Amino acid sequence: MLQIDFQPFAAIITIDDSKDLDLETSKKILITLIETFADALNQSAEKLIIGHIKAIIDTDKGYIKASLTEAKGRIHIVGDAYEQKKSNDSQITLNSVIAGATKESENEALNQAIQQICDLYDIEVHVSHEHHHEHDHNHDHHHHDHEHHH
Amino acid sequence: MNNKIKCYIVSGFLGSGKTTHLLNQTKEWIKNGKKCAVIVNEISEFGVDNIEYANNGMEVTELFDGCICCSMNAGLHTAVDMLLKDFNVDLICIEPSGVADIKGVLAILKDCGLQRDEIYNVMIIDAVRIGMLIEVIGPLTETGIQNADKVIISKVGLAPPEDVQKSHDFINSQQPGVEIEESQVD
Repeated sequence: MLQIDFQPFAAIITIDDSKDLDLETSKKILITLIETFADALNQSAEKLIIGHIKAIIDTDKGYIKASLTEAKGRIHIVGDAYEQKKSNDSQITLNSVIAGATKESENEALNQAIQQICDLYDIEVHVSHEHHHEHDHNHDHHHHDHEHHH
Repeated sequence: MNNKIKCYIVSGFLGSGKTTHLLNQTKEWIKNGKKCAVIVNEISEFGVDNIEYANNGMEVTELFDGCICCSMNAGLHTAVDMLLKDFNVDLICIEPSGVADIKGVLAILKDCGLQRDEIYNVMIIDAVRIGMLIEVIGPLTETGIQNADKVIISKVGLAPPEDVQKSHDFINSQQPGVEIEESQVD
């Protein structure tokens, strides 16, 4: 494996009560999530090299995948609608491999990105990410609750 | 690609377009009656590409939280052994992580009993990031090209013409005469 310090980071974001979420909104949520995450990291690091930042949202109506390979680059989007409903849950998997960012800055960038999607799209989510941290993000009152379940 | 091929690898750096290429290829092969198995490797704990493969109706073996050229080489060995011995597949398709050293992957496949001429390794070079591929991760890119049966230059529609030419020149400097294909796909 490459010895340069490209570090993986990943999180699973479950959107609560997502039955009314359409694919167009799902796409916007994903773009906002990736853009905010990338911008926050870019501001926190002097020399950032993005291997990739990608995310997929899987809903009962279909899936959308978005990926970014340069800090200010264009986000590549693919996706498809499902003919048959798969599940009632909507889940986002975010996965990045980046050189030049610390775990702390990645966690902070994730928090900012999640707060942004909760504020903009009026959703509530709960998050689990690597190292088994879990916390809840609640849009109401802009409350940012970190509940760690170990 | 001839009929002797039992294993198709799509290698290349992170975000170069490996999943897009392999999805398009496997869809075509499945349409033509080939039974394909897909092995996806990501160094993160939670994968994204596996979900996309599954959403396109493919059975996927997931090897996460490490790289199959080193820390997860036993996982790749087990998965390939199982597919060769217990499942009647025509083709094993492997997408290594974007930071994998292809020589490590080829060594494991050899241990599994596959001859080099039964393996087809396509390497994808991202024309938009050719400068970074040469300057930041040069040795990995060089090894990748030197061990490729074919090199695809991706995102040619998004890259300036001089970067597409730079990609051609670099590939030819590493393996003169290797088959090169340009792709708009990203």
